[in-house]
Amino acid sequence: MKFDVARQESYSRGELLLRTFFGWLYIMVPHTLVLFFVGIWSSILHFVSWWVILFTGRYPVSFFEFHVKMIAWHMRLNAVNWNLAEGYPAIGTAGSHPAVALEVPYPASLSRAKLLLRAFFGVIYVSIPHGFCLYLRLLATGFFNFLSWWCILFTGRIPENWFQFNVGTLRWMVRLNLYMANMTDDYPPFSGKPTPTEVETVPV
Amino acid sequence: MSEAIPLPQPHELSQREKDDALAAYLMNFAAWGAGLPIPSLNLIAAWVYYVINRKKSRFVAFHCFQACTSQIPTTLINITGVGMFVDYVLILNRDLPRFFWPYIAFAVLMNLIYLGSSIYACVRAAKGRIHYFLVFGRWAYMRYYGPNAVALEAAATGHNLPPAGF
Amino acid sequence: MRILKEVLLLLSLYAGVALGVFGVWRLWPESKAHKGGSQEDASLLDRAEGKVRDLLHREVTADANDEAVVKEGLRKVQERLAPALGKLSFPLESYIIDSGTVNAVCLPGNIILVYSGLLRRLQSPEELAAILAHEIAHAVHRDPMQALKRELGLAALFAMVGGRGDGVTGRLMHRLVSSGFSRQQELAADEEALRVLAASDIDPKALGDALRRIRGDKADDPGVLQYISTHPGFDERVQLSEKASADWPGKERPIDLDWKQFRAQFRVIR
Repeated sequence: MKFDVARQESYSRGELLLRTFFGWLYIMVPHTLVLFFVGIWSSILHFVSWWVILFTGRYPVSFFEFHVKMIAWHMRLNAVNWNLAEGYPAIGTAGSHPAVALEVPYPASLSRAKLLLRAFFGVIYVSIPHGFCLYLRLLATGFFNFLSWWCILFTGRIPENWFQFNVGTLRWMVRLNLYMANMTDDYPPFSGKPTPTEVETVPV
Repeated sequence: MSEAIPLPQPHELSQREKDDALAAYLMNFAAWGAGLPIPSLNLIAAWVYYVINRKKSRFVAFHCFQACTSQIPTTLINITGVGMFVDYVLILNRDLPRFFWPYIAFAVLMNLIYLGSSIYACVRAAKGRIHYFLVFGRWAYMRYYGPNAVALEAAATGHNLPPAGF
Repeated sequence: MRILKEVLLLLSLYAGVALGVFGVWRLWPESKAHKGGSQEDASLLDRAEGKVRDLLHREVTADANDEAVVKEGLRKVQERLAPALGKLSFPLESYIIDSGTVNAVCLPGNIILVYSGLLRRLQSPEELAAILAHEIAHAVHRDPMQALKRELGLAALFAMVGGRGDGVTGRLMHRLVSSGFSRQQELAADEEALRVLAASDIDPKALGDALRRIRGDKADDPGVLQYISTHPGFDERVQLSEKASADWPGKERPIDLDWKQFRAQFRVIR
């Protein structure tokens, strides 16, 4: 799984301010509206996929691609909202963002045992531990976000470490999402760092 | 076209096509997936799925069409049942008529029969085979493989044409 | 065309299942009990009423005055009213309860109770007929079950009826006797009663007379208050009865019952 957001050399102060004061209106409202309906479709496909995996051990290809695109959509929305990337995030599963890259390999087969385990005990061994850690991480992310905002305002840049930390939070969320959505059998690590096999940065 | 289009055999179909075809029948359970107990949600989901997939491949389009149209009678039965309940209990605030319970039994039975045949068709589609429903199977076949089958791609002249008169 | 053949096959599948289900429902033993004698569209309330009637029956017949003279007298009065009543959902039964209570009540299942406290105040069999006619009208209008359902809620009603514990019937009786009906229901029952009386060759003023006798001379009589509280619209009812009498062209045919002897069966109870 590869997820990355490219860090820009300089960020526009104007866009920053626009997003801060009006982002809720011109970004969140349209996205939330469309996401609501596509979200219903997504949950139907999730439900159907669960049964297909139970009976065939495979995730239907079209549904897998759809869900990867959904996750990519969520992540580019987050990346722009957190001031990690600029530009209007494309609405819809067909959209993409030059700075946000998500690649998820299609699993040839999925374990039914893990599927059932996740369904019945997922809350205990996944949601609670990860939820707790992510909660703390999100507090830190919020703090770094706040600092980055002032940084961009005065210097037009985000320090590399803070940037990577926030991208790491998103990466963690992607991994958790993939696991709970039955798109991978790899238990998500308690970290946002990319594994050695993943590409570190996508050139702008 | 004056001749029927030959049906693809299982070995000629890609895994993706088989997956898409089997998922068409699982749209029956869409209402469960969405968490909204609305009787027509299954039909809407099946229709949306059909609209999304009808241009992809004839095999997939056939199954989507069959799954969508065969939902209609069951959906009508369910809507009638829910409508009766809402009407009597919530709107008129009267007791349910005595024929309501046998009607519910009838609706449940028909739903079970339909679900059973859906699952059977689903399993067949997963293997790249076809199971024809009564009436709707024949209709879907005529639409996608019959002598007057619809074309999947846009007409050869393309999507954009000048306005009439030019 | 083959598709038409398949359409027919599909429709016959639906018809087959529908017929099967409705056939089973029709032949089911429970539904038979309601087929005989019921003209109205039966509902869940019907089944509840049947259960309540069974429960009450045992209790009521245990307490009722079953002297031969009393039973004969009641039978005569009921007989006079019967032709004008038409078909009822359950057979009509009336009983007299030896009690100081000044009340008459219609219970679910068309069971009518007249308490001897009330009966002793009446002066003629026609007045008794009027009281009975009024209560029967409540039965015809299905008021008792509606009132009980309203007061208890349908779920509680079923729970009460479904429970086999002791005290169920006692509670039920108490609720039924003390609940009473609305003013509208009282006036509607009176209208029906006056019609029945007129059609049974009884002067409709018998109802007004009966009501006045119940009220008696003492304004603060506790027995009277009990009656009035469960039968609202007292004055209006008396007026209605008098007007109906004035409009009635018929001739009264007295009921063949020795009232003094009948009334003497009920001793004064405080």
